[in-house]
Order: sequence, then C-alpha cells, then structure tokens
Amino acid sequence: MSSGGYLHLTKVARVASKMNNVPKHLESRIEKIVRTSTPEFMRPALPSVNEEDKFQTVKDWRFLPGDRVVILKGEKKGNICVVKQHDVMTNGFILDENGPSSNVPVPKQFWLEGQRTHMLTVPKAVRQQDLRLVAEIDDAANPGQLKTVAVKGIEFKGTYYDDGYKKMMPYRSVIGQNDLIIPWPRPEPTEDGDLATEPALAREQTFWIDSIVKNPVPRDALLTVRNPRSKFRRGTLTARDISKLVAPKMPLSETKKAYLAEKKELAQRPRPSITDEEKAAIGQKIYDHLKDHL
Amino acid sequence: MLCKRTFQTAAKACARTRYTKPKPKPQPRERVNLPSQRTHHDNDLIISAPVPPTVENIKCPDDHPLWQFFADKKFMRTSEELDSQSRSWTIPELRRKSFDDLHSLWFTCLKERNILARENHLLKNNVEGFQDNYQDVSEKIRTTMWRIRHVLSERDWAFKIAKEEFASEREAFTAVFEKEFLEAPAEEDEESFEKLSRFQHSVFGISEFIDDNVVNRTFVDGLKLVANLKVRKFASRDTTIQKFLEETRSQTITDAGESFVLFTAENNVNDIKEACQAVEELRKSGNSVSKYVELDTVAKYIRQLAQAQTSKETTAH
Repeated sequence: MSSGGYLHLTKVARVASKMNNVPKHLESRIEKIVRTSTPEFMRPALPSVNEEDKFQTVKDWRFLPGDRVVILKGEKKGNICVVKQHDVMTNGFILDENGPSSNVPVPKQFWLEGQRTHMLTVPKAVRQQDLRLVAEIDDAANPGQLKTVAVKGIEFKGTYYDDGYKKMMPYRSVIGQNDLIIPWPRPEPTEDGDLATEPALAREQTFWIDSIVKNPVPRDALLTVRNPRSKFRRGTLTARDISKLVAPKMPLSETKKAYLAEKKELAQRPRPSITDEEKAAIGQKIYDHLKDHL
Repeated sequence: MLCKRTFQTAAKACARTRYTKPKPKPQPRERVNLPSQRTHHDNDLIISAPVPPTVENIKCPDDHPLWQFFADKKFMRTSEELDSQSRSWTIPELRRKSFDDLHSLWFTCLKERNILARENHLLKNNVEGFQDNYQDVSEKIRTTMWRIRHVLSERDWAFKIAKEEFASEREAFTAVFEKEFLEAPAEEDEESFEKLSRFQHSVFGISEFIDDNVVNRTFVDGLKLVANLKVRKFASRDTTIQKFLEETRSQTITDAGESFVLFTAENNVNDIKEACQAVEELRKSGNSVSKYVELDTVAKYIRQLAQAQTSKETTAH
C-alpha cells in the first residue's frame, strides 16, 4: 500500500485497504512474488496469515512470552526454549537462542548498534503446532520434588483477574485434568501509560439519581448525543425509503401479454342468464328425483 | 567626447574671464533650534551583522493555543512514548460517571485525538511511514467517545421511561410518604425534614438552591403539598396552628400565595405560627392568587426571593 496523501482521513480508504482481497487462484503466485522480491533479512520464516485468521486472544495464542516450550519439528527438535515474542503477522512464536535461527546478510544501513559484520543471526518464527508447553509438576515417584514435563494438550476453563496482565485471564490446565493448572508466565511489569486513569478514580461513582423531574442529561447536550429525527426511530417510511425497499415491476413478456388479453376477452363474454321458466324446470326435475325420499 | 560644432565666440562666452572671490562661510549660530525629530542622519546609522533567517530567531510563546495540538511540545512522539497499552473505557465504568465527568472526559479524548491526527498525518506525509501506531491509539479513544454518547443516550431513555411509569405511581408514593412524615415523632424532626427536602426534590424538582428551580405545574403542586404537610405536622403541637387549619376550607391550602408563605417559613413551631398569622392577614385583606395566574405569580415570588438572597449576600461581603 502506498503511504502519504490524505487517504488516512477517509473512511473509504481505510475500509478499502482492509478489503485487499486476492483471488484464490492468484494467492500462491502473489505470495511467491512477494517472497522473491523481499530481501532475505526481511523475509518472514512463515507465510503471513489473513486478517481474519490472525490470533486475537490468549486462548488463540496458548503460549505467552515467558512460557517454556519444547520444539517438536525441524533442526532444533527437542530443544527447550522460552517464548520471546509473538509474530503477529504469521501467528508464529519467536523463541530464544535455543530456537531455530538463520544467518542472513544485512545491508549496512540496517546494521544494529555494535554490529561488525554483514552477517546477522535472526531468529526464525515457529508454528504453534510444532511446539508443546513445558511445565513443572510434582513428581509422584519422588515426593516433594518437581519434574519437567511437556504438556500434550491444553484446555481453558473458568476465568480470574490477573494482576500482572491487568485483565481477566482464563485458567490454563492440562486437557482432561482441570485441577492441574499451568499458570501463565508473569509478564514484565509495565508502567501505566500517560492516557491511563487510576483505578480508584475510574471506579469512583459520581452519578446519582436524585430526581424524577430533572433530566440528568441537559437538553442542549442531547442534540449532540443523538439525532432526534433519526429515520431508525421515526417509525414511518418515507417515499424514498419505500422506493428503495420495493422491487421494480418486471416488464410483461409477449406470451404473458397475450394470455392476459385472452383472459380479459373471456371475462367480457356475455354470460347466459337463467330464465324463470328454466329455474322452474330445474326445480321440478329435482323435486321429481327426491320426492320418493321425502 | 563628442566635440560640438558651435560659433567661435561661444567658448569665450562660456569661460569665466574674471576671478570672483568666494563668499565667506556663515558664522556658527549661537542658538540653534535642533529639529524635533532627527532621522536618517548618516551619523546614526550603524552597520551591524545581518540577521540570519533561522528558526531560532522565531520565538513562540509557551501559552500559544496551537500547543494544544502537541504532546509535551514534541514534533512527533516515538512509539515508546506513545501509550499503546491502555484500553478504552468500558460502558459499565462510564455509567458510574456524572454528566460533568463524562463531558470533561469527552474533551480530553477529543484533544488527544487532535494530537494523534496531526502526528498520523505527519507520519503518512512527511516521514513517509506506513505504520498505524497513532491510528490505533486514536481508534481506542474513539471507542471511548462513542461509549460516552451511548451512556448518555441510555440515561436519557431511562429517565423518560421512568418518568412515564412514575406518573401512575406518584399518588400512592406521595400518600405513603405523607403518612410516614406525619406519624414521625417530634424527636425525629430533623431527619423528617431532611427526608421532606429530598422528597420535594425527587418528586417535584424543588431544589434547595433557588436559582436551580424552574416554575411549572409540578413545582407549584409540590409547593402546595409541602405547605400542607408543614402545617399538618405542627397542627398537633400548637392550638393556633390547629385552629388555623380548621378554619381553612376542607383543611387544605389550595392558594399558591398562601402556600408560598408557608413553604418559605422555617421548620419550627414559632415560624409556622407566624406564617399562619401572615396567611390569615392575607385572607382578611382579600389577597388571593387566582389559579389561572399562579404559575406566573409563583415565578415572580421565586425571582424576588433569589434577588433578596443575592442582595443579602452582597451586603454581607
């Protein structure tokens, strides 16, 4: 996407940039073009994922930075590493120095501080299915001691408020054994941001209802809060709304026109009317037929 | 040089043939009137170094209003300085806050979004960046802002619906309060009158602060009810008030003027007794307020009361 201009000010551009839909049959081709045109030191180890497939919650990620994991696949198979960070673009996990890495040449303008050579060791992201969580549990064989195990499956049950993350977190436990909870790693303590409000101040109640006569919202403020003439509250449809909702009438085909004309013609045929004599004759006939049963 | 061809006498005529003595210089004057304004004199002009056209020569005052578009007077905040951790306010949190709090929070958000919009614009245009750091924080703040509007709208609907439903329950509610108020013993007077004050504010919108009041039908109805309650409260304790109440038609005060006199009286027997006497005098002199003009009349009384209070305050100062 090209930067600059005033695109960031329009809602349309923001929506359009998200709808960067690539046709399915071109996906692999475009991926290849992107891969070959990206220099090696910027190339991600894993393919990037679509916006809707990106991990959002801790339940999606399963392992958070600080967790210990064991690698199941690849050159560093069997190594126990610590998760350093999440790779949001590829849903991958960046591990510490025990994890897979590659030696790539880096142009001089991208050199880090203290770098001496063009070659730099860059960690490679690892997929979630190639990792297992490592936890320490009580050793049944040697009571009072801990043993390190790799957990095959994790499930999430219940929630609690985590002081470190400052939000509600699910309990992470071994699948089928809900009492065996593997705690989330303690995050590095971070200071509250400049825009944050103190919890006590945020929780303090300052709104009290004390009158049924006086509106708690001033009348002049209400006009900026809500549109009083909103079409969604009006309850009636305008001619314009109706014209949008009602489908246009289909033009009649030649056959249909002929059918309708024939129907009209048939309807206009004179209908035979029954005279009184005929009515009397019919009545006589019915009487003759039924008279034995009366 | 071009030699002009002229008559031969012309050169002789032009030439000075005789020596003339030049005029002597004038004597220096003793009393010289200096010009009132001395400008453009060569002696006053001093050659100084040229002023270089740099930004440092431009002084910007610290209280310049455009600083409101800058965070800590920085051109652009770095991603470390930017607060990308904090979350938006949730709706339950905002529901606890008064209108004034929400109003100030709205303006704080608006100012911060202005700063972020400026920085985002610079990032996209001057720095040629494509990150969405500023945009993301701005979106979080925007969420807070629509939530503020949602909470206020919700509050308004709740108020309107409650008001509609309370209309059918008002009489029963008032009757229960009246019973409790009149049956309370004399020792609990202070508490009872505090309750009355809250009741008149909640049901009739009669505020302790005179300026806050809006005189309408509900207000006047409340005024009458409160006046009646006060008289009936003290009637059992004083024979004069009891007599006054019995003399009143159907033992209820319906006149707005009389109600106002009783309403403004202090909550003790003597003051109520005095107020009753004042009302009796009003009746004797035939002073009564017609129910067709009672809203205007009460509004006038309230205005007079407010003026009296302000003048009292100014004299006290």
